[in-house]
Amino acid sequence: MIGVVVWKELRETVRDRSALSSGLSVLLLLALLNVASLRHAAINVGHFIFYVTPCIGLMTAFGMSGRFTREKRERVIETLLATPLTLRELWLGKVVGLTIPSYAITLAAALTLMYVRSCAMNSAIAIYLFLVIPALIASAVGLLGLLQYALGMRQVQALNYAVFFTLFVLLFVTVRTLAMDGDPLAWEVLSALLIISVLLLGVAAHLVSRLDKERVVTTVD
Amino acid sequence: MSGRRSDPVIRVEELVKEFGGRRVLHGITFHVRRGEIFGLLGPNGAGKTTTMRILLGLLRPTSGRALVFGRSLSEDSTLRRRVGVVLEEDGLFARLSVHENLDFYAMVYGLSDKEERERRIREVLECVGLYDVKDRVVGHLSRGMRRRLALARALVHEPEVLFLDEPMSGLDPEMRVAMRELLIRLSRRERVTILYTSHDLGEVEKTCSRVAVLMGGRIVAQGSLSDMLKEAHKPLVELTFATDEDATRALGRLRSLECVLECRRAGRKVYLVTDWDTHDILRELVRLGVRVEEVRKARRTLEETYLRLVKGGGSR
Repeated sequence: MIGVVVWKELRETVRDRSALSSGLSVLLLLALLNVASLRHAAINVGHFIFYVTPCIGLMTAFGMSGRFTREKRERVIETLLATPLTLRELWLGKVVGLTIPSYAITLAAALTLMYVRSCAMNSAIAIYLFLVIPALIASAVGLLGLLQYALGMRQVQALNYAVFFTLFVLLFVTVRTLAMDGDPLAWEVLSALLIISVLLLGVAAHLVSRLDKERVVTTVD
Repeated sequence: MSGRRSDPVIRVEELVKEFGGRRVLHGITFHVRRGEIFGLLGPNGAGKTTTMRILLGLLRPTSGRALVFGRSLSEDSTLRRRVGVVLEEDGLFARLSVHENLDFYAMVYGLSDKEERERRIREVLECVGLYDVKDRVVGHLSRGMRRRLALARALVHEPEVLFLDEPMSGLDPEMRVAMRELLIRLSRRERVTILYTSHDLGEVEKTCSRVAVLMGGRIVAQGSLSDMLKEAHKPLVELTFATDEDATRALGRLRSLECVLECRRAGRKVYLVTDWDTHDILRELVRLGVRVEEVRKARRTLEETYLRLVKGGGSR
C-alpha cells in the first residue's frame, strides 16, 4: 500500500512544475552562495557541506510538504481515507515519496559543490550525505505532514510563515559560519543528528497513528 | 460476507452527531437492503453528507450506530475494499492522467494484477465514456468529465456498495441519463447497493426506489417513492368562501373532522387534503350554513410534497 502512495507522489512531483522550479531555485541559491563565498580566501568546505546541505534539504522538504495541505484543502484526503488506506500508510507513503525528490535535489547540490571545490569524499562526509541528510529531510517532511494534517488551514498558514522565517534566519547564520575553522563533521555530531532525526520521525509516526480521521476531515474550513 | 443475505447492507440506527455541542443529526434511523438504490434527500445542511461521512468512518458518531455489512467501516479498513465512493469533491489528482488516477485507486483497492487492472480500467472508462481521454491530465478535464471519472474510480474495483454524494452535479442532461441508467443497471443486475444523496428531487425520483427526507438533522419522511407519490397525488381541494367570516367558521369545522388530513387558510380561500369525497365535505359545509362560492380540485406534485415536508408541512 505504501509503495502505491510513494509511486503516486513521485509521479505528481515529476508533473509538478512548481516543485521543479523550487528545486531549480535551490540550485541557483547554492550557485550564488558558492560565488559569494569565493571572496573568502579561507573558505571551509567542511562547514559549507555541514551547514548548507541541510538548509537545502529543509527548504526543498518544506516546499514539497505543501502536498499534504493541498490534498486536504482540495478534500482529496476524504476520498483517500474512505479507501482501505489507513492515515498512517498514507502519511508514510507521502513522507517517503516527498523525501526522495527532496533528497535527490539536495544530494545533487552537495555533490556538485564538492566537485566544484575539489573536495574529496571521506567516510564522515559519506555518512553525513547518505545517512544523516536523508533522515533529517524525512523527519522534517514527516513532522510538517503531521502538523498539516492536524492543524486547521489558518494555523497551517501561520506554521508556513514561521518555518519560512526560521529557514531564512538559519541560512543567514549559516553563511556567516562558512569561513570558520575546525571540522564540524565529527562522529559525535553526526551520531547525535542521526539519532535526533530518527527519533523525531518515530514520534511523528506514533502521533499520526493516534491522529483521528475526524480531526483531519474537520480542520479543512 | 457477514450476516444473512436478507440482512440490510447499510444500517443506521438512532444516529446522533454533535460538533462542539451543536447537534447536527438527531437520532436518524434507516436501512438499505441489498441491490436497492436508497436516496437521502434534503436541502443543503440537512445532514446528508454528515450521515455519509459517518458511514464511511470519516466521522465518529456521538451516539447510535452506522453499519455496513453489520460492521463499522471505521473499525474494519478491509471492509472498505467492498465499498465505492463518490463524495462532493471528486477526490482526483489533478496532475495525474485519467489512467494514472484509476490505476492508483485500483491498486489501493487491492487489484494487484496488472492485466486485471487494465481490463477493469478500460471497462469503467468505456462505461462512463472517457476511454478516448485516458491519457489526458485530470486538471485539463471539464467538471462533468471529472465527475464521470470519479464515478469510474468508484466502480473500478467492482464494489458491492456505492456511496454517492450528489453524483450528478455538473453533468449535462445526456450524461445524467446515461449515469442514471448505469446505476439502475448496477443495482438490478449486479445487486449493488447504492446510497445516494441529493437535493435534486427529480433526479432522486428517477433513480431511487426508496428515500428518506432529511431536514435539520431529522428524517421527516421515509419510505418507497410510490408511497410518497400516492401522498403527493391525494387531491388538494381549494374552497373559496363568500366572506371572511364564512371562511373562519368553515376552517374551525373542517379542522375538527377526522377525514381532513391537512387544512390551511389564505384569506377567503381554504385549502384542504381529505380522504372524503368532495361532495361529502360540501354537504357538511352547507349544513353549517356557510356560503361556498367556488370549489376547485388540484393535484400536488411530488415537489410540493417534498417542500411541504422540508418546511415542516401544512398544519391541521
